[in-house]
Amino acid sequence: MKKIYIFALAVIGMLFSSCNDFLEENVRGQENLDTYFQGPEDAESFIMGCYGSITEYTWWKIERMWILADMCTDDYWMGNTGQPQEEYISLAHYQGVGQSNGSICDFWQYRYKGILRCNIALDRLPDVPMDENLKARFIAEAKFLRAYFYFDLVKNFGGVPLVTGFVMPHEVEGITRSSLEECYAFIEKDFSEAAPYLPDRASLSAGDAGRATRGAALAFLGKAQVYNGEFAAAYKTLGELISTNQYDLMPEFGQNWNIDYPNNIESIFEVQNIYDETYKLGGNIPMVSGNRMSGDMDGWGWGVPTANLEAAFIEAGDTERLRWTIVKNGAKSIAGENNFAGLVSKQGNRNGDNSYYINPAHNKSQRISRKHYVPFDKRPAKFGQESMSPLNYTILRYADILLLYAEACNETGQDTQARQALNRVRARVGLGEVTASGNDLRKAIRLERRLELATEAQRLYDIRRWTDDNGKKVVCNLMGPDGSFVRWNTGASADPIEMANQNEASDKGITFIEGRDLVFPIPLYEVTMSEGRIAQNPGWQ
Amino acid sequence: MAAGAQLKISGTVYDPSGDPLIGASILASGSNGTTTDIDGHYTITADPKGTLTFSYVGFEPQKVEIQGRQTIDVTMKENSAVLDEVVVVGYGVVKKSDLTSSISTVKGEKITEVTTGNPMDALQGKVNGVQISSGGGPGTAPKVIIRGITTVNGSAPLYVVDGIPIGTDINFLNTGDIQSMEVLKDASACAIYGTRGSNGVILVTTKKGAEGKPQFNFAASVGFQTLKKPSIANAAQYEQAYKARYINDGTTPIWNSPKSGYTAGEGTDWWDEVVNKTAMIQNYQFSVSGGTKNYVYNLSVGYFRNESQFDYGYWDKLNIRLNTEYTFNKYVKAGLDMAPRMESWDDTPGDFGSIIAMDPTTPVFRTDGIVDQNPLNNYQRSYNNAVHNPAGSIARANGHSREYGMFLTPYIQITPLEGLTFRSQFGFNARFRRTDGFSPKFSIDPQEQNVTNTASRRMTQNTDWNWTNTLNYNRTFSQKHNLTAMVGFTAEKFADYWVYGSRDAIPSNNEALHEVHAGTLNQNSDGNTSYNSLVSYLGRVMYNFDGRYYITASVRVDGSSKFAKGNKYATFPSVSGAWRISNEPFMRGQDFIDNLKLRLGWGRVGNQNINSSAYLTLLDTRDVVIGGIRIPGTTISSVGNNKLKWETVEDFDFGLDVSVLNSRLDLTFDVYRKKSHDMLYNKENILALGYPNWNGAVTMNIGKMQATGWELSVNWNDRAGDFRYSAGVNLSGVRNKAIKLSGDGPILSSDFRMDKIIRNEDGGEISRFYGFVADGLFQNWTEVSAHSDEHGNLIQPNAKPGDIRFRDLNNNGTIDDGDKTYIGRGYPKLMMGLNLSLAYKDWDFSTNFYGTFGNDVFNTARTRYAGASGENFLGDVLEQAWHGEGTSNNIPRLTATDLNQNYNRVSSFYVEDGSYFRCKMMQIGYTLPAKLTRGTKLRLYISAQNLFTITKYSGMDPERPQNDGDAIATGIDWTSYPNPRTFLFGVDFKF
Repeated sequence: MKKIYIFALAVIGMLFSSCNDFLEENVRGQENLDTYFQGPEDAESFIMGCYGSITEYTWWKIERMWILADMCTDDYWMGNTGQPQEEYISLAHYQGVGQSNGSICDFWQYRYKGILRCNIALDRLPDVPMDENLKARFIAEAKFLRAYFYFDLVKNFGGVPLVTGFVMPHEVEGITRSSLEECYAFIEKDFSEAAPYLPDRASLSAGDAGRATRGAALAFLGKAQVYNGEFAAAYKTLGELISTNQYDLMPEFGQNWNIDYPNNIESIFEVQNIYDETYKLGGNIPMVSGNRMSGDMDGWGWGVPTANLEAAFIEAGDTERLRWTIVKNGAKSIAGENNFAGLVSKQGNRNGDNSYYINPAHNKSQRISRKHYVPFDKRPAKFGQESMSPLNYTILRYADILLLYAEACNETGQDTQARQALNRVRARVGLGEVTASGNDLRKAIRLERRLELATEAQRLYDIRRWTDDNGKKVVCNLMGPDGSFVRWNTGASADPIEMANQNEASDKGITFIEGRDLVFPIPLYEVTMSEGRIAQNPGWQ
Repeated sequence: MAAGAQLKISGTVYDPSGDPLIGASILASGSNGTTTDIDGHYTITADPKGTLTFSYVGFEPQKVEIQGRQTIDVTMKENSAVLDEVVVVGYGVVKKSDLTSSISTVKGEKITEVTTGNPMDALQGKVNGVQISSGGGPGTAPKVIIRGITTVNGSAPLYVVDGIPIGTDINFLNTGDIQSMEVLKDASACAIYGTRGSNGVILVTTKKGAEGKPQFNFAASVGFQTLKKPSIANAAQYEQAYKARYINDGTTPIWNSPKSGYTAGEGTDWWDEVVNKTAMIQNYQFSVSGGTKNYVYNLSVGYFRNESQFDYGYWDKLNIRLNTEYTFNKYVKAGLDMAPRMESWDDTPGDFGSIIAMDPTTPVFRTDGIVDQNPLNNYQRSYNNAVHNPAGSIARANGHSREYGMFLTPYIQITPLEGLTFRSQFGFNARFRRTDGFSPKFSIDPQEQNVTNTASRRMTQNTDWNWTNTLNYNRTFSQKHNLTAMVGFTAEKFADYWVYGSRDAIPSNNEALHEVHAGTLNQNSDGNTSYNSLVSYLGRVMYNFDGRYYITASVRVDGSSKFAKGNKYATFPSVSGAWRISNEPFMRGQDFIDNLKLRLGWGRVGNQNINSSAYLTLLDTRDVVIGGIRIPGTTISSVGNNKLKWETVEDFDFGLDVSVLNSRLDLTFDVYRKKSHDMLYNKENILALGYPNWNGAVTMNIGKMQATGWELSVNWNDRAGDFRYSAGVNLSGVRNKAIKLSGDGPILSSDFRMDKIIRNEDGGEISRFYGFVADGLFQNWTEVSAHSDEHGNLIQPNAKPGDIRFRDLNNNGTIDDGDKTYIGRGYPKLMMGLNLSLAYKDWDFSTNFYGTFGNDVFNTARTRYAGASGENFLGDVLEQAWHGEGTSNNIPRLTATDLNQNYNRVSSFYVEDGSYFRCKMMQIGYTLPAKLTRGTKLRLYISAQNLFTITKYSGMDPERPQNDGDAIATGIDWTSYPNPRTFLFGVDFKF
């Protein structure tokens, strides 16, 4: 009997021991974070994944917000008048009901997804066995991107929750929004810490185009300082950057946003897009802003230039930048378009006079942006499908930096240097020197920024931060019932084409409210999920 | 061989209604036996002083002393003593009278009376305490909730077919193969299934053969289904309401239809255009069973098919089953169950929402005279909204799947000593599925087009095996001590293999080119493998003293690969007892009470219903362009939680079984309390965490829930002469409460307009709607200005007359998050089933009702009163929506900007009473007289399913919202495929 017990125990013992192996099932086909970081290749691959967060190569995650930003200014209409405008109109027309708007919700979450990728890199890279110099560069790149993503959030929403590591939900239980000051301090710290370990533009190999450089870190740092009103600091940062002589203006304005001049000397940070049918690694803004190559090819799109912007160019006598910024229905040529005849013929010569056709049924102003444009012969086969545009997207270029520097100089009372920088930008497009100083110079710089950077998703953040002579923010004087832009569009000055097309109302901005519309609302989801601890911006209840 | 004089005996065996019984077994006291022929006759030789034993499935065996008679006719008695029925429990069987836990049994014939692809549909209202909510549409599985919700992590029970746990989906099973289903409701019954028992267990026993001549059965039912058309605005109503939205705002309507001033008769009725009047449903069953003393078999073939109400979409399945068993000698028997099957389906489109929303002034086909050679291009783009042409969508529908499955269950059973049985069973379950997709190229409009076509194929293979070994010992000591003991060991492994491929740019949409091979661009492929495994040790002891005092105890130890080291094993014990008062000496001498039993049970069960890799943070490729070329970068694709462990449910049950009046009246009453802890849930989080998972969801062990409930079943059955009848009522109520969900706030779910409908909060009932209180409409400006705070500031500054008045519950002078409150409950307070059957001579009638009471529905279709984005309206919205003082206090004014956010807020405007009581089935049958059918049995019947519904609910179907959504997010009407009404004709033929 005893033997039987011993035998039984032995059998059960064997079952248990073999079962421990039986119960180990590794996940197949995917690596896991616990065992991933083994060496430099893993570290670099993970950093590459961080760069993927910049646009995610999907139009609705990030790029839609870039278009929306200009729609909220005097430069762009929503544009598309043949379709429901729900995703845009609540914000673009300042209706005060954008808390549930998909564009801001998606932008918010995908920026934070990018931030988490950087946070993981920053958590894990220090322990990876690899060359320390290379590691320092990777860490700097993660910091650079994290700061860029936070900057993008802060520009749009004001202070946001600062999540600085890979944390489980209970570790940030009750998290609230940090103040704008805290956010800028964090952003500037990341950019400052990144800069020393990033390569110079000059030492960046062609194969690394699109990766962060020291110049880019300094440029963003300076820009953040300007946005935060730290003009003295910005003067120093940007001055240092300019004195490196690593960047310059391209000889011609039209060489920016030009498929033939990617990553040129004026470019500081640029999204790299290619045409790849399988992996869909292109951009989307050209597809959705008026010049896609499928369907009716008639100017359908979101975000179209206003007549008000056109008038600003004309008033300034700025023909060069006008032709490289706006394409209008009835145009007999398009700047940089070498096969205009082929393009018009592909459109079906719908104006009947061999001119470029833009359908008023689809386009409020019968205008499209020339910057987000690929010449006819350079358009790939599926120029019309999602993520198929090979045109890079320039996030930051030297002209922007020169004008920010001019602004910083002017604000710190160094008008000579300010004029120098400003006139460099003007000279390129054949405009005369500005000799003004003080407040007049400030106005000249602001106008220059509008004309130079139109449709580049810059103006909204400028008009929200600039204070006008009457002590109000510039946007408050443009929008609202008495706003100059609203009056321009509804009064005698209104453009006949735009007036005739009320499928998008010309009184855009009339419902602007000062106490509410200087920032976008926090996505309702976030407010709800945090039980209101991530507080809504004022006026957005 | 008996040497004495043998007597030749003959006779006829009848069933209780006097019809001859075919295939009844007669066993003489020696050893020879026979069966009755087609006329119920038998002949046998036997010792004149011996006995004959007559037996037949479903009847009580009868022993008759021969006493030298040469003719013995017998009328069999139905097995009325249900208490002696054997009930299947986990890893064993037990006499019903000996049960100590709460188990309900449903016989196969009560399942097949409903024509459905999923047997659980037929259980509605027949099993008390089980909430079953059907979903319309071919192949949709009903949602099954046994005794409430104790987990936020799935509510589906575990199905066990002939001892093999097969998961939480029973769609594949042929309903005709079911001998019986046992629903294990309390933890003392389920604990033997350990980690997978927390939502209850349903044991399915398939039909086995019995000794005797071959018995043939043929059954068929064929019918059609219809849907109730909702009220949708016609072209004229649409135009006026559409324009009114703008005019009311003081803006100019953007009207893109080619003309204005539509009349009611013009335009397109999209429902009539796209939804067919009827859809066909059919079910055919054929089986043969029989055997010898050593070998029994049952072979069946079943075919079921259900069409959708669209021109596309169906589901069908062909099942074959061969169950065999061979008895070698008195020590060893072995068997093999084989069940191959084939399922096919075309994915039913889900276009009800777009049918209602589509612009009715838009024609189906374009009217500009252009006829494109691609017929998919000839549909008209909606003039006034972005809804895709539903007729075009259905013409493009292309999603076909076919699955081949095979069950193979060999087993061997050895009985070395009387009462000791060793059984080893190996279950092999393989599924091979092919899913083909074709997304055609078409161009209706730049926003309604697909510039390239794509063909794809996905192949999946699942091979699961289960090896179960049990040792059972059963003995009665000193006549009064009855002991049954079982120990067991099981090992299970689940494997999933898949591969996917697709290509774009097929030269044309031609059907013959719907193959990946025809594609010319973008070759795409993917594939992966996943495994998980489970090891279990189990044991159970059942003891009763003299049929009066019962005690059962069981334990299961489970180990799972789904958890990290250190958290792999868990133990699930149970204990239950019963006191059968009716067997006490003091109850003798009365004949009113036939059975009276008290039951008490406790047990612990678990749940591991999570992704196999939920404890790991996984990485995936994220492409990026650097330096002009594609670089495959790496990033996280899901966030894992390495602290994950089992979820556990603990359950108390108290029950009472009573039978009185010669078992004509049966009553069962149960109360229970189930309590879970360490609940597993894929919890959504704030987006700022940056998790790649949708809405930041991560699996966690979060908190505790509790379900407390009661069940009362009363059944009466009797006969008076040729009239037989039975009636039963099942009543149950359950309250599901979240005791503590997690440290970090409530669980919100169900996205609606970027907000959430459902909120589950500590201490509160689960699955309640949370939002603003819509307190009627402002009828005039006075009411708007009266809605102000103590300083006279307007609470709703954007409101106009005709807008919804939202209550400022926190009195802070503005409508904000703090004004939300609970505005409805997704789960019912009371569930009721009503079953009635009558039979008179050759006629039979049965009906079955099911209903839920006290639940609400969040009816998202009410957004259709808004006409947002130019979408079409429900009903006569111009008349129904507010258009002047006193015209409505319910449906707000028409506005394009909706500055008051009438429709964007989750509010009680959307909430309706969802109670309903539905005639699930009504059937009248006629059995042809036996003389006419020469001993065969032929029954014809007509039947209706979902015949009528008593409800106040305004949507298409009050039942469907309970089918949608997960366990903590039920009761929302997403305009899914409603449950159709079905009319059927059927025939049952036995020979």
